[in-house]
Amino acid sequence: LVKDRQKDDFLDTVTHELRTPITAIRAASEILYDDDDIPEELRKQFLQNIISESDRLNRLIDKILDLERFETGRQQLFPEQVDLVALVARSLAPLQQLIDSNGISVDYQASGTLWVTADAERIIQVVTNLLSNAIKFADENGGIIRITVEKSPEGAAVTVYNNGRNIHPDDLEAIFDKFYQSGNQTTRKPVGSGLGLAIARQIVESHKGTIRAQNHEPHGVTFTFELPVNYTEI
Amino acid sequence: MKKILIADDEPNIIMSLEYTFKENNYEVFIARDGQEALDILKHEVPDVIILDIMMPNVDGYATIAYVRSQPQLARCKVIFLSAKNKEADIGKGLALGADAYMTKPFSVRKLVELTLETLNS
Repeated sequence: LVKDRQKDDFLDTVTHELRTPITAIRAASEILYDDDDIPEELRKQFLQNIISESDRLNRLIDKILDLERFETGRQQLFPEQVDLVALVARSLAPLQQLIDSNGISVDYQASGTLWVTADAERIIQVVTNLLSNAIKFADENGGIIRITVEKSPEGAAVTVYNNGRNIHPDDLEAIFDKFYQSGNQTTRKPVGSGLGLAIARQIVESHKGTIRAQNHEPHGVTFTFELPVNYTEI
Repeated sequence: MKKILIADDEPNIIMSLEYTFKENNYEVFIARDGQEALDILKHEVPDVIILDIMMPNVDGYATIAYVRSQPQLARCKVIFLSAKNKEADIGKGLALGADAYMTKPFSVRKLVELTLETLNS
């Protein structure tokens, strides 16, 4: 019964998230169809909206399918020897502009190497999702993100800290559920697609690793994921 | 000129609504979430409010609760515009005091018609 309920909630949220871009596309298309006198600049803007909302819809579908493949165990990993230190740097680079425009300072001392067997593209996806999350939730007035890559008893650990608000203690595990909404408030809208952390967990667990979130007093949150040195041998 | 307050957190949806209602000779006020709507309602009394439900900070349900608790806003008509389209959602919206409910995705033309009907009811 709980599972049925969760499935209903998931379907509710997914249909809402899919309908939102369709709504924007529908409205802009109707205006363009009906109004022949629309100024050129505005006409272009409405067309641009249709393009960007179509892309958004497509990204969302990709994420849902991606998650579904992991959940059903049909997602294949392509393991190779990768240096986690370098992977984190590769994940960080495309986000630098977003980080700068949000006035966030990032502390990451990349030094040395830390080799693990993993699917490089998938691990980049995990780090990217954790960094995107940190960018969203870091303090609006002077955001700070700290990243570490270290050896751990299990293998290797990556931590991503942001100095934003704490996560409600009851939510520390549930935030990794797809479309999880804090406090079960179905009317509150999650920031982003609501799928990033769920996908991150699926990827880490398929590498036989673990992922968790931890609060700091009085504020700040650290996300940590640990990977075994070689998951294919476990 | 009738005053309309549009509260929605989706910029591209707002853009279409703002354009449409301006073309239909409304004075348009825009709120990007419920909190901004409440701020505007402190000094404006719109004839009609188009209200999304799922918004950050203050949602549509909390916004209508405020509107219906304020005597000076008694004559404001409220239309929910939401992707929550189950019968129970619509029932809840109307029970909270909305004058009409339109589900997303919506026809711009039909929303303008519904707004006019609601204003005249």
